[in-house]
Parts: sequence; structure tokens; C-alpha cells
Amino acid sequence: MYQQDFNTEKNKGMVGKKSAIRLLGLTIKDKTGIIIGFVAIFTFLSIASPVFLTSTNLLNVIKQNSVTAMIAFAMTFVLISGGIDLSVGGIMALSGMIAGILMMNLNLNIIFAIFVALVLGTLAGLVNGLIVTKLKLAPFIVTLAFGFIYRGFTLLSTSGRPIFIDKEAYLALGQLRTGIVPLQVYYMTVCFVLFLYLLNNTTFGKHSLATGGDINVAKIFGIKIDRVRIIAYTFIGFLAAFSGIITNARLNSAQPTIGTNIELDAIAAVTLGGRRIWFNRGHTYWRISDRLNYKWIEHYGSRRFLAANFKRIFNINSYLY
Amino acid sequence: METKVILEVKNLIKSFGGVRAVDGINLKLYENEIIAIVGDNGAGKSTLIKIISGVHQKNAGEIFINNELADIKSPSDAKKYGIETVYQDQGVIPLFNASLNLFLGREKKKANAAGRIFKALDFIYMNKETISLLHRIGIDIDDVTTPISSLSGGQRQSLVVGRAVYWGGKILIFDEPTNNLGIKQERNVIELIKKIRSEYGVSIIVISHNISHVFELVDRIIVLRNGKVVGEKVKSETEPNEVVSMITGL
Repeated sequence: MYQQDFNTEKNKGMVGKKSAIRLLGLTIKDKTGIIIGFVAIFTFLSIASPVFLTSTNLLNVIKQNSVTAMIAFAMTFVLISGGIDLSVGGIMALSGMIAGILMMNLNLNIIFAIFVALVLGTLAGLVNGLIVTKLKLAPFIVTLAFGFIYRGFTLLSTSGRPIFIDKEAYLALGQLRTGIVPLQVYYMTVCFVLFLYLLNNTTFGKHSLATGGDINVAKIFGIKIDRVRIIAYTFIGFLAAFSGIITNARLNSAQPTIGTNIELDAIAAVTLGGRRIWFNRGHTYWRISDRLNYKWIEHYGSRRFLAANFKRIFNINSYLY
Repeated sequence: METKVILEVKNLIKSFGGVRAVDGINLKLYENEIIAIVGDNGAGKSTLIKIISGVHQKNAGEIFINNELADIKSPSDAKKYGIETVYQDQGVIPLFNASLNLFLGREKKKANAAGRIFKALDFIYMNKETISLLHRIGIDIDDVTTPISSLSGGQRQSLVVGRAVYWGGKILIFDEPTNNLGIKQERNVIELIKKIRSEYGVSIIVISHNISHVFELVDRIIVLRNGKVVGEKVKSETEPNEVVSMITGL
């Protein structure tokens, strides 16, 4: 009895504080490892390298990783609703290549080319979603297979060669800066805010979590589990296409190999933030810090001409949080 | 006094492959009555209530609610008829807090543009409703925003019982309501069920292995064996030993 009263008192004291923290959508105690890691690495690199703590460098890191971050945001929904999408890289390359072919080889309008690429990417996502939900096939296999198929078509379309792009308006999408801030920072920020909002404040976010949390309970309570999952796959298809377009714009060419393994990077980032694949806790904030965590190391590593393997070890470390 | 029949099941049949899990069951549930459906494992209790609550589809037979033929094809259909089920495995998303679990699948959206376009959730309303419901049914949860996995089994069970009432269920089905609970928590849940029955005037079907709880709670006991009703007793006219022997068939 005493014990119980004591606990209640203690809990009451905690409520205020906890709610204040939760207002920010954070549950700090689960994430201590990541925060400590982040701060430690950041501090270490700032001291160890004269160029690390410059706005140019930090913005460059963000620019290079913005695509992965955006994919990770979308991947969050796929994972928390109990799926996985391994076709992202394939969709990214194929959409980018289609935009390139339409613009350069067929000389069509840029906006039309981008539009077609986005629509195709979205459709590819939709197809993933439909097959996974309606035919009830394992998402791992379905998306893996489609990833290979899309990548294959991409390579076939130009016999594996890139297409050089010289349309200024298109290249601007990946190269324009406002002041020193690259456009990618804006893309990422918009996606970040949108996904955070969808995840924490909307029916869609909660239904995704419920679907992945316990699909039977979700079904019994009338949650449209198929629709939730289809939307998640469609979202990531769209963002993959968009990522393909801006990546090619950054590279001055439509490359058939962009986005290789990007889905794994994204899944790693989501998993670090949410701790476990196919569960449950989709806190998007951490995506970014995790992402930057090991990318900063990688970046630093390459600047200092460290052996690639050494970077790997660091990466693996960051997976182990 | 003539009491109203609120739920009537006629000649219900359900087979899984070659096995007849429910084999021509008839039963009636009167207004504001608590009945127990008892039986050994595999007697067909769970299948029966899953048909009534829309989880399984019947092969044959009819279900009447308020003397009207009910067409129950899904759990949502059952809810429309006022049938709310409290499942054995509790039917909650452990990660969600009390208020999100209370509103699971029936979330309150904001009235503004964000609510219409993004289906943004009205957390303030949902939390307020949850707190007031918890007060009404006398559950003591300090903070409705903690994940439900950090609550005790009894509190979780009380919440799902409260949820059934909150959504205006007229027929509540409890599948092993006191399973996996401590002794004190069992008592709380039993008291809660009694309280709900007297305050909300609902009719209740309880499925339980625990004969002493059954005798404490219910008005009438229906015994199933091999998918058939083998006995039906008003509580005052029977005793635990008789019920047990009907269950086992010995």
C-alpha cells in the first residue's frame, strides 16, 4: 500500500515535466545514446578538423544527404505500417532516367519530362502497395524484385551509359543556392515538417502505427489497413522519383546508377531513430541526427584520406547504438 | 414482467474445414441481463462470439437484434448494431496512450481546415473525453498520455471495458475478461462490469473459464460442448458443480 502511494506521488511529480518534453514529440530517455553519440562526434570533428565546423561544410553534408533523409522520412511510414521498400533505388534511377530521355533524347518540354517522371515513380509505388496488400505477397520480395526490374530497365534504356543534361532550368533544381543555402536544404525541411506533422498529428500517422503495431487489432477497429499501406508505398514512390530528378540535376546528367543501396541507408536511419525495424516508434527527428552522425564521420574520413574500411567500422558502430 | 429480447441467435452454424465449431446454436439475451457462455476449450465459445462481433462469418443461421434481422459482415457492422467486444488479448495498440486507444479507428478530427485536408487529430478533445470517461467509470490513470503498455493489466482491461461503453455499446461481449490479471485487478474488473451493467443498462455476454466469477457476475449460464448448447441454467437454480459436470459431460 505504502509502495503504491509512493509511486503515485512520484508519478504525479513527473507528469508536468514529461508532458513538456512530449510537447516536442520527444521521449528523451530512449534516445540518450543517439544524442550522446551525436554530440560527441560533432565535438570531436569540430576540434579535429579546421574545416568541419564551417557553414559551407555542414551545408554540403546536408546537401549530399538530403535525398537519403527524405527517403528515410517516407520509409518511416512504410516500416511502421509493417512493410519494407527495397525498390526505392530502382524507382529513383528509372524516374531520373526517363526525365533525362524525354528532355534530351526526345527534346520534350522540361516540365512535361519532370511530370512524367514523378507520375511514373508514384505509380511504381502504387503498384508495390497494391501487390503487397491485395495479392498479399511479402513486401521484402515484391519490392526487391521490382527494384531489380526498374534498375534493369534503367540500364537497358541507355546501355548503361549516362545521359548528359544541359537544360539550365532542370539543373537549377539540384544546383541552385539561395545565398549559401542549397535548395536541397529547403526540400528536406519541407519534407521534414510535412512528415513530422503527418506522423504525429494525423489519422494517417496513427493508423500507420496501429497497422504495424498490431494488424489484427487495427482491422477489428475498422482501420483501413490496406489503404494505409498503399498510401505509404505510393508516397515513397513519389519521393523516390523526386529524389532521382534532383540527384541527376546535381550531377549534370541522368545516371543509371544513382540511388544504389539508398533504401538500406534510409532503413538504417529509420531504424536508428526508431530502434527496431517493424516497430513502432516513428520519431522523425532522430532520422536527421542519425543520418548526419555517420555521414559526418564518413565525410571527415574521406577528407583525411582514411582507409575506406576505417569508415566502415565507424558506420557499423553507429548502427549499433 | 415481460423482458425484451435484445439479441437472439437462431440455429447458427460455422465450420472450419470439416470441423463444425458452432453447430446449430440458439440463444437469447434479454435487456440488462448478464449471461455467461461456458465450455471447455474447443466448445465453440470463441467462435460463437466472433460471429456475433463480426470477426467470423457464419455459414448458416440468423442473428436478430431488437427483433430485427441483423446483417453482420464485419466488426464495424457489429459496432453499428451496438455490439462492442472486449477481447481476450485486450485489443489495444500497446504503443498508443489511453486516449488514442479509446478512439482507435474512430479518431476525432479537428474541425478546421487541417482536420479536413490532413485529417489532423483533435488531441485536446480526445484527451478530455478520455479523462472524463476514466473518471466516470472510476479508473485511476494519472496521465492519459503515457503509452498504454506502461499501465497495469487491470488498468488496461478497465480502459477497454470503458471503451465499449463509451461508444454506446448496447450489447457488450467480454472474452475472458479476467484472464492474466492479478487477484486485486480481477476484483476491480468484476466490480466495473457490475457497475456498467447497473449504470448503463447494457446487456452483457461473458465468456469465462472461471466458474466462481461466472457465478458472481451473471444471471444465466449457457453451457456449450462440441459446438452445441448442452445446458442452460438460471444462476439461482444451479450450482458450480452442476455446471462443471455439464461442461465436461461427466
